[in-house]
Amino acid sequence: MTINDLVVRTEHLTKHYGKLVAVSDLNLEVHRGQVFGFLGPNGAGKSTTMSMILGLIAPTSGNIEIFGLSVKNHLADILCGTGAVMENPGFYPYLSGWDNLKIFASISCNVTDNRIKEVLTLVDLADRAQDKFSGYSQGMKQRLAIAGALIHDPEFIVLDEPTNGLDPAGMKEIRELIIRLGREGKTIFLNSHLLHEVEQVCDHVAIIRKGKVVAAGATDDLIKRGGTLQIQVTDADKAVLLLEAEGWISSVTRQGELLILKVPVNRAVDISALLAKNGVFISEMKTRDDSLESIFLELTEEEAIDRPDKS
Amino acid sequence: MIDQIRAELFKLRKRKMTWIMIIVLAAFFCLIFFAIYGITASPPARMPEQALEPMRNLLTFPDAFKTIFSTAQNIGAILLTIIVASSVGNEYGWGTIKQTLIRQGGRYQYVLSKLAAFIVYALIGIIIAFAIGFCLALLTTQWINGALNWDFMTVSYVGELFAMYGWTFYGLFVYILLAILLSLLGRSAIVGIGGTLGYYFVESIAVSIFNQSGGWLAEIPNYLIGHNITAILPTTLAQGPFASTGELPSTLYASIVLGIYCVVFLGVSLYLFKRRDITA
Repeated sequence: MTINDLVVRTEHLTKHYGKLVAVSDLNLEVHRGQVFGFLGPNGAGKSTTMSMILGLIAPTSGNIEIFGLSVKNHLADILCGTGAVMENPGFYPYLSGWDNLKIFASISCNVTDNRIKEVLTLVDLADRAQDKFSGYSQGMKQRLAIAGALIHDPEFIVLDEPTNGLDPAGMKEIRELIIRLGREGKTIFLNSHLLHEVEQVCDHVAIIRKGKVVAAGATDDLIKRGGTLQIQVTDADKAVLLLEAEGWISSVTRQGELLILKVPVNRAVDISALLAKNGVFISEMKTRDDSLESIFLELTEEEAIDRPDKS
Repeated sequence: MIDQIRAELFKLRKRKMTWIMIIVLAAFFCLIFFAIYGITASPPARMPEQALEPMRNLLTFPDAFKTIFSTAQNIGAILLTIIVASSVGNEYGWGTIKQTLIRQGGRYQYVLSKLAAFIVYALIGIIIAFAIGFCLALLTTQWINGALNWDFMTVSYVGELFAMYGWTFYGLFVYILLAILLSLLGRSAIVGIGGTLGYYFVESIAVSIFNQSGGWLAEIPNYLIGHNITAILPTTLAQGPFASTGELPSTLYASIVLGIYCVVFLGVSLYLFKRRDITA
């Protein structure tokens, strides 16, 4: 990855609302073509970060660059190549879906009527385009918002809970759409509470808690990093003592002759070497990846004690 | 910017409220003209003839033109306030302000394009009011004088009509800016409508009180919006129930005071909107 591949870069991004710190010293990098999941519990600062990226909220300090351009100084140019679905997307209730898109198309870059038809067909709203927005179901409103985000064929797409209000079939369609957009080379910044969904569509994720990034990286690496190792050894008592003394192992649980280790699975070799050096030999070792959900919960639980990075 | 003004005009055109306001405007004109005509046609028994003559003048050309523009200003200020404040304030309520700003980030551009659309709407609104009033005055002149006499319609009088059109718009422009400011300030249509109309009515009552008080209190109206708008409008009896009373400042003074209000309202609106986060 080179600097030219960077679509989003935030440096020490901070936002205060009075005494409340919504986002604190946030450093993010999203590269071209990534489908980037942005996760965090309610109030973690996700929407504030997204709003700062889109120029709706001014940071208290720090910088944001999109396509290498500063949001502060080149917002209009940035927005030309950026599409977004905000949480609870707003449209004019007295206008039809078509008229709503027509209005937003007229202030977006280079949009033709044919493109409006295309995106309405893409989100399966072509038949209801002339109906008033006020008569749309929640799912239809969400689909119209997605059509609005794609109307100017942006290179970078910000999606805040894009499957809100959709039925399972609609969610699947949007999931497939996101994957397809990712394959087409679009860069996607996705905020979703549906971790299973994020796990399926995002190749990279960042997890934030209380405005700070607590984990970031490739989704597969993150899942592996928070994985579980199951080992069987020649001397379980001694192995437990040895493993518990290592700071980078989160937990050691004994189940009969089996030891369950909460540890980055990419450090299996280190465990093997450590035990062998002390005369304990592994007779069986299995890895088990945790789901993104369990990693998310572990990292974002309010009561959880902050641990140093164990990777 | 042009595209955005077009989009704003499209929104106004497609909105039912816009057309309802024009119907209300027409109804109000009919009410004024027919009510005054009713009084002149069958006056109350004790009403002296010298009181009827000025009333007849209000409905007959050429003075009817002054009635038309004064009425357009008075009712126009109320109707425009409702349109402007709801158009600006509802963008927050509907969340469309975000949708717009994530497509073109220019905050000044957003406010100025809305303002431009309201200016166009107000200018067209005055023309519609003029057309309605003109048709009504044709009828009432015919009924009262029995015939139409256009001898007064010289080139210089046409010029005067254009000047009246301009002053009427200027008076409305101040209220447009006040409604924009209050709607942005409160991020709501209710604040914009309530604040502007509240000011409009309270000022007219306050001016009467100040005028009766005398002394330095009587000077205060010279710095208020409505009083100065009355000063730039053609003087007729039909300036509406809330027209300012008392001695009026000169047209030049009034236009400068109103100009200062315009600059302050627009400046504060742009400053606020530029600085504030959009979190609606």
